[in-house]
Amino acid sequence: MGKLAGNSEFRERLAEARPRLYRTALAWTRNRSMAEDLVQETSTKALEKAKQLREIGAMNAWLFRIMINNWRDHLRQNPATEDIDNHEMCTYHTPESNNSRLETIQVVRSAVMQLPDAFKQTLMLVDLEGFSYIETARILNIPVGTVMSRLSRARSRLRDQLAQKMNPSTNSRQPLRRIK
Amino acid sequence: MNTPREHFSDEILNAYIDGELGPEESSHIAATMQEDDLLQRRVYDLKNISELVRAAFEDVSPPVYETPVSHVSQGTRYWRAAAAAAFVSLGVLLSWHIYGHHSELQMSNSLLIADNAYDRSFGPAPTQHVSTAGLKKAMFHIGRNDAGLFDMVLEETDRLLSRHDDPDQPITVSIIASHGGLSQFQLALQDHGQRVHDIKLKHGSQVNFIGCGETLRQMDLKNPAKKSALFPEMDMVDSGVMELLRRQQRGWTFVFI
Repeated sequence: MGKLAGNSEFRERLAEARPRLYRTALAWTRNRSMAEDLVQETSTKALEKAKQLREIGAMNAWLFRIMINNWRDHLRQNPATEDIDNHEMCTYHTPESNNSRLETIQVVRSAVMQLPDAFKQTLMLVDLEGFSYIETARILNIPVGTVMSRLSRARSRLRDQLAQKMNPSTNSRQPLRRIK
Repeated sequence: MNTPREHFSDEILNAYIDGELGPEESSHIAATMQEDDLLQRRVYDLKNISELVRAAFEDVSPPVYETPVSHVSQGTRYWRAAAAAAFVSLGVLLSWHIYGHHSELQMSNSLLIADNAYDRSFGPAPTQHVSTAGLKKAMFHIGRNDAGLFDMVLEETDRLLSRHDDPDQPITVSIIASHGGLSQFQLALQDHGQRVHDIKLKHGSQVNFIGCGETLRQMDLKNPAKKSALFPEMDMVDSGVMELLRRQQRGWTFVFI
């Protein structure tokens, strides 16, 4: 074990990062159990590989890089799981709830989870975790230009899907409501 | 003659809203937006999308994690879980086709009862003190539309969390509803809605309610005109049965009532 793994700051930061890892893992995996396991596996590997981390300030990006590698390994070993990309998660539409924040959240989550993996991974790292394009490129091991194009296509798809889902009576684009 | 509008690609506009452009380029886009309503609208839409994504996921409650105590890789654990889940899924699918909905319920219950034989279990004996030391994660399954059963599960959950006497090892309880049990999660059942809310208020993230997405799909297919409204406190999983199995493999204790 490297020095950092025994370092209390390392462990504290690892514990602090877990909720962030989890919400991103949930969006990637679309499954709570799988997300929990992915985060657990990431934490375990982080402890194993602590000596590879040169500076503690870079730990967040490093953790996400470990997590994406774990997830890619999983997808490679279980290609069948990729088939569920088109799987529709449940959303509930009732007259009472149609305008609620909860309804909007469910619709947005569902739309995000239907994005192709590559788009979803990029989108979550930038929008949810606030990584810069360069950091995201390093985490995903792709060029910055690819980050930009994936992000652009992801948001474009979301914009169209959400406009349609939030107002299914028309196919024309509607302004999106803010939920915060 | 009108000056042709300058076109900015979506990539550039995204970089603009994400603060990835230099000051000069950012100022140029900001200035152009002042005179171009369409550009303003495009930027607004993209910004909104970004905010919606963040808002939709930032409230996701993480589970109570165990600290990894060993550095032995658990790499194959969730892959095995996925394979086992696929196996159960196949079984459920077969029973659905061969015996119909009722037998699917029987199958899921018998799986859990069988597993319960080697899991720790709690019978409905509220007067007897049961030590919860060492217990970290427990789950109940509501598999049928039975208000009495749901009452008992809520009582036991509240009791379990209230009596747990080891602050160093917080306990988490999940109530998972599938099949007819999902009806108990419906908002129409106002009494239970209030009780669920009260329990959530009292115990916070130590208790969570999980619904089966597959059951909901079946319910909505049967009666598309009447979509189901469920507790706002509830989370959804693809399949309640698979969720139970996965959790058991991860060491959750199944509590049978």
